Amino acid sequence: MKKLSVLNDLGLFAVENFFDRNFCVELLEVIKNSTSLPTPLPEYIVEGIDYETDNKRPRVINDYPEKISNLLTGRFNELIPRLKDHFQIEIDSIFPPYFSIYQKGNFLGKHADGAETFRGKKTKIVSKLQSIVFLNDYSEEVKTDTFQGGILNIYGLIKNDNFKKFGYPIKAKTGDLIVFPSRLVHEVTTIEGGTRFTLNTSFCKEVLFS
Amino acid sequence: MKSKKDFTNSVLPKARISDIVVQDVADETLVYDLRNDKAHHLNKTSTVVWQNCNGETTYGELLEKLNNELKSEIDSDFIWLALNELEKINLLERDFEKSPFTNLTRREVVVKYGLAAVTVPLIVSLVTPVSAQMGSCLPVESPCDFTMGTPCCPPATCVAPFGSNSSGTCEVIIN
Repeated sequence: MKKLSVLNDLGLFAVENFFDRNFCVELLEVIKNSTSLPTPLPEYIVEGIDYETDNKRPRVINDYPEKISNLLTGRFNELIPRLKDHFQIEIDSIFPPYFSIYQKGNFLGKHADGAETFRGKKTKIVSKLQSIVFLNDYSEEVKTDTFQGGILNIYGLIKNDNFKKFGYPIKAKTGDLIVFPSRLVHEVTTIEGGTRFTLNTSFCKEVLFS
Repeated sequence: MKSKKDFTNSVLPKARISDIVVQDVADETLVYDLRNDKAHHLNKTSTVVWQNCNGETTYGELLEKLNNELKSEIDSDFIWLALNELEKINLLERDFEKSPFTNLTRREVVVKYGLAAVTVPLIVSLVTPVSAQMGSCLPVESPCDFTMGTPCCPPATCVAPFGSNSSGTCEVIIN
């Protein structure tokens, strides 16, 4: 497993143990007691996503106890000043955090998440950064509570012309946080075993338009 | 087969320096191999080993450096682990004499020396996109450029205002 801090030098914002393991276990309990839905299709699909293969799509949970939702929103809001500084962009809000569940055979092909939500006729909320907190461990071997496969590949991370076409594979640990620009193409490879649980959100900017 | 003691005074194999592009990332290294269009990320320890594959440094000298750096009492098998990984991705100039410890895994090294996993030699191979797509794309309404730079995310395309010949805005064209 790679030291996450090195990823900060590649342009990511990464924090090891953003959530401690006990808190992640609590969140897994929340997931077990909530109803999941198919993941909405990403706005900017590049390849590898088939509209007809719903059974291959991961599921999401965006309806869970308000107390937990407020707690998670608070933790992400605290990050905003650091993210503004790190990425040198304006951020003023977050999308409500949601859980992603990838079971064996699930994957999400290459896509970018530049989602826009309109608020009234003159304002829209634009997703600027994507964040993922890993709630269980990746493992190369089959072990309890781990998953195999399900690697997050982020493309275009390395600015050098020779490297930018390559995807950087991220295998994080329980509680680790990764934040990256929404415009970067990324994918989650097929889950080969176990179930992958993450908590996701977007950091956004309100934009006025005429 | 040589004993461990014999290797101490042997010179390390030479690192390949032709047909590669190297970029430093803090104290780690990104390597792009022009021969096979593959890229790799060497962690700090793999970087130190690779940099010392200069045709002069001996196994013993490198061990001393690594022991000072890691504040540990590692043995040659630690170096062999790194060399085997470097050989697998063709970053060594020529075949080198095989070690008696080639089957040692990262996990065995971590357990044997009680080191943090991040200090053990590690090479991450980057993923090549299946298609020739670019690494990133611009969301709708982002400024874009026809002549260079990042393309718009599908289904948007770069649309220029009348009179402009290079810059525009990413828009979704609905027929």
